[in-house]
Amino acid sequence: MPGVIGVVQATETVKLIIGQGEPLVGRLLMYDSLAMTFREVRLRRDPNCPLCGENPTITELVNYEELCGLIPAEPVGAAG
Amino acid sequence: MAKTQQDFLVAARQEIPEVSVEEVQERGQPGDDFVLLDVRENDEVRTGYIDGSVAIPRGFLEFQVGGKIPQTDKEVIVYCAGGARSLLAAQVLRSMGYDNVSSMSGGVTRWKDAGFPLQRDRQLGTEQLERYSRHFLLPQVGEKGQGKLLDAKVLLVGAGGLGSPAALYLAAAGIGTLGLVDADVVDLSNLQRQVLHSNDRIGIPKTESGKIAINQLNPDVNVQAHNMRLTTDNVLDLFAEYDIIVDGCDNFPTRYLVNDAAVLAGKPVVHGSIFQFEGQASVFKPHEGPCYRCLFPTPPPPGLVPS
Repeated sequence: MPGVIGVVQATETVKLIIGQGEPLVGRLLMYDSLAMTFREVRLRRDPNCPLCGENPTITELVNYEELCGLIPAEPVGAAG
Repeated sequence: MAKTQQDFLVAARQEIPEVSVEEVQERGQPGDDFVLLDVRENDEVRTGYIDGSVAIPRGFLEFQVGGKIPQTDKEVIVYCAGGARSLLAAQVLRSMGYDNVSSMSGGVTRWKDAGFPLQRDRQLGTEQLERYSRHFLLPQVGEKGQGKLLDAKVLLVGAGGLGSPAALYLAAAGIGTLGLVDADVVDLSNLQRQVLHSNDRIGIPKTESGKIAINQLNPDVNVQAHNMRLTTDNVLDLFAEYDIIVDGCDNFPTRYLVNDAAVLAGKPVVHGSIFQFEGQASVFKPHEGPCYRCLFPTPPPPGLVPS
């Protein structure tokens, strides 16, 4: 039943547009449908984040298939 | 003897100080120091209001003022079209405990004659006024908020399990432009959860199917069907056309691509993900809060964690 999360996303989107309420910025909402619980954990910005930190090392897009290990980063040698 | 309108106004003038439009204009933008209260009817407010004012039609004054102006010691300048209703409204406010109340003499008519500007919200059509009427009952949305929704451009990455309900609710709420990016076609096995699609649209692209469903629900919405995979080559051009990205993708490469592109483009991502019976959601607003990589700098090894 992914509907709950999709509707949370729609609600957050509307809040951002109309500028009302407390958006889920810096918070992760966790939903367990079998237990039917919603939990929340606080999230903090990582000053060392490679993307949005103080000294970012990622300044352009990369190869995401490779990043996720779905294709090898280096050509595989004959000896494999 | 019964009172005439003149009697009411004369009595009100003895009690309520009047300020000129020039004095109000010189005060600048209402804020912490004073409230500018518009007591005209909604259809009058639609034709133009003073920037920063709070609107409560006079008929609702006693019922709504406590919510909109909670502090009774706040200075309130009331205005209407010509300066008569505002006098009577100010009298009511004073009897409710608002001690620092005045009325703008001559109202909006004199304000306009003086050449001062009026603000006008997006003009809604008759059908829109009815379609979104429940939004207008919510002071946090109102016609102003509806205008923002109709002007907004939202991109949904994925028209599947998360994108389906998100798209339907956003469409119903009247988001002006909804982009759908997805390269898949509708499959029978999708229909158990992807409520945007239907039996008779099996085999057609999800973006096309989504467009049909959205426009059946709300023809106001301009749906952009991007029937393609999101890649490093197209993502930045696509994000440039939208204000907010809703991430409902189902794989790690796309999730990192969306995150990185959104941070580079400075666009907020409304994140969602699900696995079996569990799900999570957050909002990644570049440089105001964490991004996905602040939590997970690099992806898990393939096969270790389901996407």
